[in-house]
Amino acid sequence: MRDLYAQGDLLIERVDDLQPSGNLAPATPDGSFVLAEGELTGHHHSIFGQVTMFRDDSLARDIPGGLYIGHITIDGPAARVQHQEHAPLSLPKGTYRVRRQRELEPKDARVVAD
Amino acid sequence: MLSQINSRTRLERLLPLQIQEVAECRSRWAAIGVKTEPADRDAAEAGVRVAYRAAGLLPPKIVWCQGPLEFANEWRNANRSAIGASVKRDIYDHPLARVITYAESRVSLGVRHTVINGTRLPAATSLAINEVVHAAVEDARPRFWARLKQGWRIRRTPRFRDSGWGHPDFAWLAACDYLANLCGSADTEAMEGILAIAKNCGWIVPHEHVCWLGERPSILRVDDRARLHSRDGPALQYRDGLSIYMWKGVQVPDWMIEQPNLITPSFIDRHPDFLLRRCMIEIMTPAQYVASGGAIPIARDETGILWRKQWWNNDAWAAVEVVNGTPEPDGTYKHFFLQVPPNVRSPREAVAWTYGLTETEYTRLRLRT
Repeated sequence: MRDLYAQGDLLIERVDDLQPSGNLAPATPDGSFVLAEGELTGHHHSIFGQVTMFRDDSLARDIPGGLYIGHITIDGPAARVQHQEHAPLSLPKGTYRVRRQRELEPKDARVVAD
Repeated sequence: MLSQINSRTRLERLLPLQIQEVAECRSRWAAIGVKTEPADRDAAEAGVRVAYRAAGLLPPKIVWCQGPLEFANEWRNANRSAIGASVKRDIYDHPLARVITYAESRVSLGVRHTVINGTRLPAATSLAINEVVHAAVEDARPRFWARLKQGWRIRRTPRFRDSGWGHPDFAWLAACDYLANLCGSADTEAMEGILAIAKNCGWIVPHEHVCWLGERPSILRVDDRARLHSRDGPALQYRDGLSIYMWKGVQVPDWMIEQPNLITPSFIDRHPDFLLRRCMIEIMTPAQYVASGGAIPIARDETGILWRKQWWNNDAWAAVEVVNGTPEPDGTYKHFFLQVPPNVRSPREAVAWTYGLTETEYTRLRLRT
């Protein structure tokens, strides 16, 4: 059973453990990774802990275009996802796939960011 | 200085450094494409003279236009025999085609694809600008009967659409710029002219004896998906007064942006254009549309409320109202409206759709904050 976790417009899906592939994401100076940034507010979802973040589009073919953000592998006992407007989310060790939320717009569906 | 390949070898794949150069080339041209400063007229005119010389043509008379409306006016009043034939092919199409042909002999198909895909600029902006500029010029053309009176030869002259080039061609130019640097080119002078024109002005309509150059737009606003978009004021404005109002790539009347308070649910419901109806709901905000009785609730569950509006022509709009998982500092909960396809039947299905999931898959949600 693949558990889902949501924080605002971000959805985090537990997947089978796998080795990082594709492009590794750079960490910020404090060691965290920015999962998504809000286009209007400047707020962002960041993950803290013993984490590796990578993006491999071949692992997201079942996700509608534009929603896939990347994969995160948590090597420590847990990692914490934080956002300025939402309560922190604690994720247990494992591999997760991260996606954003979309909205239908005049011409098509679009990505939303808070 | 970009890396250049050895003249004796054929490049089968790009090195990491070269892939980075392709990305830099793309960024450079993307920045050129959204420039709104006045044109560097001396540099652009020098580019025109170089491009004409490289094509074996005499320097033309250069006429500057502030924007598409002025282009249209010049175009309408131009004496066709005095301006000569369009030379776009000689100064633009042929030199670029030669760069590509030469690159075909020097680098593999894979490398060319990497460069072309890597330098591709967002089509949303360029297509919209193209459409707007051509529409403005076409609108100013004499109507059919007037053209018919002027004789069939007028109608056979190259149209602005065929002889002008500008922003929409920048994606192609970026690829040619990189390939010409990578492989070298016999047409160095022609490329130099083309690049100087593209970097220093907004639009060009080159003819044998007269070459029109256009100023860049004075306002160019895009959203995060590179679509022309502005919630206050025009998204595209030229110095000749042409102002275009756009909402997420859809052209809207100026009053919808300048006086959004005039939008009411009853006006939306009566409007015949399904795109503008949706734009108006977004401009007035779905929350306000629902609050003023525009839509009715059709389903509720633990994820939120599903609102729907059915219009007279079988068109429908829907949004799901959701509540933040985390309370605000004052203890209240923020409500959000997410627009969803009107065929969803429950709030849970609607929210699942926003993540690209089915309703069943979304039941695996363990925690929301």
